[in-house]
Amino acid sequence: MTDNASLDRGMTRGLVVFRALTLGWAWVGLVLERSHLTRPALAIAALSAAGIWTFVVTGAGFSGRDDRTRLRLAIVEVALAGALLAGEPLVYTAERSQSLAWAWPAAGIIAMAITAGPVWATGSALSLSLASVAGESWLRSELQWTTASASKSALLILAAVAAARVAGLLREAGREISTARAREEVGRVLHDGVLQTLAVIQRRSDDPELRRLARDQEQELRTYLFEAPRSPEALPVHLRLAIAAVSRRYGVEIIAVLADDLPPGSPAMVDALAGAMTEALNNAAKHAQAGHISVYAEPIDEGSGVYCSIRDDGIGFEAGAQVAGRGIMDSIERRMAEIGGVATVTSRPGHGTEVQLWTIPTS
Amino acid sequence: MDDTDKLRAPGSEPIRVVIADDHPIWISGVRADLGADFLVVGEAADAAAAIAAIDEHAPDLVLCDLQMPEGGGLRVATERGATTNIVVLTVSEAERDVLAAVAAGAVGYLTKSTPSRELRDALRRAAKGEPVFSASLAALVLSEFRRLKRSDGPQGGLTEREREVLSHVARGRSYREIGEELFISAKTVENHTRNILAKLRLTKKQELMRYALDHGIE
Repeated sequence: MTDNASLDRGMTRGLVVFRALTLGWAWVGLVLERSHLTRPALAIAALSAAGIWTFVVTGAGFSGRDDRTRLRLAIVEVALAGALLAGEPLVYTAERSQSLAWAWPAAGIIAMAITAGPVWATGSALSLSLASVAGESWLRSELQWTTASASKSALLILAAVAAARVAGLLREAGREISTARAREEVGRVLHDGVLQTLAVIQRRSDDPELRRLARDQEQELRTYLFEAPRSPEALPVHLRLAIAAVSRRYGVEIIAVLADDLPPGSPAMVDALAGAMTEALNNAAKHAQAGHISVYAEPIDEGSGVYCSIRDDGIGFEAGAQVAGRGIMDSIERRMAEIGGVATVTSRPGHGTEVQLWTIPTS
Repeated sequence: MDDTDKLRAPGSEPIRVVIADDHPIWISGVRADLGADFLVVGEAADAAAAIAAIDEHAPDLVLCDLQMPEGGGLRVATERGATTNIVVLTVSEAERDVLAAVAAGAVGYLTKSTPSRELRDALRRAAKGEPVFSASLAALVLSEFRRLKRSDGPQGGLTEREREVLSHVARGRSYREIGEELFISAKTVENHTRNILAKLRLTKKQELMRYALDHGIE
């Protein structure tokens, strides 16, 4: 919120400068074109009104107001600009080469764009174009739709669309920044408090169920805080989610160590690796009677592939023996082969089992 | 790692520990965890207090949180790592600052979710100055050397054997298991980890010096 307020303040301040500069030039124009003036006093009064208005909106703290007040201010400004455009015949003859208000009306359109968005701003630009054409026609006593007035209308509409777009983008960026900041802040607080507490619970509790719960929560929280926002599709997130799912399903503790430079991975690769890993973990959790299950993943071959190890310290099995879960091994090998990878299983009775996965052929 | 249980002969002196962490709940938790083999002689809630406690008590071992006020575990390791056995603890396993702390002189690093028995075993070894090479540290060191290789950084990469040892540690094996697998003694495995730590420290130092030269810092 505060970021958007400061962004709005920035845009409004820019607009104040724009108003002052255009008004300054309008005064210069008035002096240069004074020979074409029919009612100099009225012209001076009109430009003074615009000047006073500039002071009013500057002093009113445009940005500090609520949306409705700001919209009212913008409407008044557009109306004032319309009056200046349409009322031109009252002060000038047709021979003048600069209009009374010059580019000052654009300020109202930009204010409208910042306050109320592209539709209102474009509407205002169209109204001001009509006012301008009406003024010109009145001055020359015939309907004037010249190239000059058309290009002026185009400019006003362009200003409306561009200003609304820029304001929208700036606000969006502001929102993203404040979301990121908020997340960082939440992350810091959770990191300092909740993660520490979860770690203590895991250490001090004698209840395996509670320990598991704390570990799961810690994993999930960490995935959310440190990985998900960066790249929701990234490989590490999917691997962590797969690990957490097995851990929950079988109530086993899985120690996951994932290298911090894992590549994001293609969808096919992520699918194959997370799927193969889940099957290997399921197998270890179901059949191995393991005390520890650990997962390790690192990039290989300059990050073009990933190596992954799923290891348990359970009962293991004799090479070539028909064991429960043999079919799972076939399925793991198939999954890896589909993406051109390799899977191996190493086991000895009493020495646990290790499933190793490579997403690219090993040399 | 079970064999380290034998290390404490009955009646031997407990290991004197300083615990530094800005979370009282964690300190009380780890205190209860350490058991009779350890004697907590000092507590600190920030890096400056930890350094003061180390100077006052000359402990056998310092347990130090990575993220603390006034410089955290990195500062403690930098200033007292050469003379004291410091183990850095973190809540998450992928914090790169850990590498800097270990390179600065900490004997090792553990995550706070390390189970009690493993924690005690690791700390007993750390108190004797042995490197505490957890799976997470092995993974971090491996990725650090990958990074150095890519960035064409300081020379002095790992030997194939060292990489192999690290990879086994990262996959969750104990020194004894690794020794069996590679047909070497657990002691030799430990020596490899010492050499790896020494290389890490050296490359970090070279990196710092190179950075200093590149940026014209004296």
